[in-house]
Amino acid sequence: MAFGTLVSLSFYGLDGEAASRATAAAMEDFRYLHSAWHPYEPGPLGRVNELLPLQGWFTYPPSLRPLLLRARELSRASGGLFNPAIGELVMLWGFHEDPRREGPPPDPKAVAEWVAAAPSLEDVELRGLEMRSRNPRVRLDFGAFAKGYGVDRVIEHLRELGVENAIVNAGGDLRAIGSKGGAPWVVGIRDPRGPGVLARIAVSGDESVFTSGDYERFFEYEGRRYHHILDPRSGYPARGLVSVTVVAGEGALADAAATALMVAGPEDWPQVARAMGVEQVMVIEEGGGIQLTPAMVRRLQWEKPVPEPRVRPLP
Amino acid sequence: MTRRYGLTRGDRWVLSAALLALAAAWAALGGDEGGMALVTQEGRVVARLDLERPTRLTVDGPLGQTVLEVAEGRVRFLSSPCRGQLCVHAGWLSQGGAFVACLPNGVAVRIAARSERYDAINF
Repeated sequence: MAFGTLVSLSFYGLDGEAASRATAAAMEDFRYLHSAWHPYEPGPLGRVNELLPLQGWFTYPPSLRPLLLRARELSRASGGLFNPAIGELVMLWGFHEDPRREGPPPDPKAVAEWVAAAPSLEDVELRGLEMRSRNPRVRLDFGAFAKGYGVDRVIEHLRELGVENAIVNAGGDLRAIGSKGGAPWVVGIRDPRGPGVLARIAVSGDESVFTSGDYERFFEYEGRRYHHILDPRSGYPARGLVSVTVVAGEGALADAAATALMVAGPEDWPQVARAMGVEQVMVIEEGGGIQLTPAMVRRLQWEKPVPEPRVRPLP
Repeated sequence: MTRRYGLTRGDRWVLSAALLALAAAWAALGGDEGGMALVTQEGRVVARLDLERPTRLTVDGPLGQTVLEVAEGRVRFLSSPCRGQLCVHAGWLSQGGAFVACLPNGVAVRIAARSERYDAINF
């Protein structure tokens, strides 16, 4: 699961001891969430994934319920482009293993069969704490939004501990609350193709900044590059975009939207952004072009020369 | 009547407030040198490394020993018993505010310094 084993926390206005306590609590949360939501290792979600193909009713862990419900809402809003029932396809591509075992991309016939079976969360029925799948090919993988959902839970926990000003950064995707003594937090968005930082954005109050990119996990085979953001419509890696950055309040929403917009591609992403309710978006095209929503134009300060961005109003 | 040195609720409040103030003062005075790396294990501070003094530090965690190396004003995870090795691949850290944590082994390194350009990097 792409859960970012690298987690960083920043606090403002906490003494050393309180910061240590908050850090320990957050690390413990991440460790727990990682094992609870890992789709391919023994654990709560791993067990669910073993039972789903049997298509009978079974009891699932209550802790998964809010995650499942939020994932289903976001999946619907994205028109299925964010699809947490994609686990089997992820396995076909070998992205369930980290590092991926070397080898060719999957047999096109196997990919086509998966696409024809079209597993989605709509195939999963929930009845209280029981669930079943009507589609034997459903295998849950929340990788495209677990990081956001997890960051949200950690922020919630930190607030309960009295932390008011913090950044929780899970492998480059983050949610920031409060401020730095009145000054906003400054987040640098890394250039997905070149060195250094492309743009900076000042965040305060409560905002998440999430980026999905084709550079996060990929492999090369016979001169072709295959990345891990899979388009459930084709069964192949999404094409046309290098990265999508979404700024939104909720980490889970920003995370799922960044993935869905990558899949939607360079022309169609504004409709999906509208449907999911995100307004601040930057996408980087394969050719290097930059597209921004009007709301994002006002947020970014460039840190290096960039081609004139194309502004895409949301429909 | 026995005389006891027990603390009343009010005493405890005063004492805790005093201890907190002391901790805050200590953090304010000592917590902000540049060129220092703060090393924690499971959230507890295990070392403060002067980045100008080349050294190696071994930290024990649940998986085994993590080795940190300090050289030329920088610090890195030299080796780690974790599977992903993300901490090792993170390479050298030198900028104030830079932070790398190896969750599997519970070891984290943060560079302490005030003037930083970014509070976080998104990618």
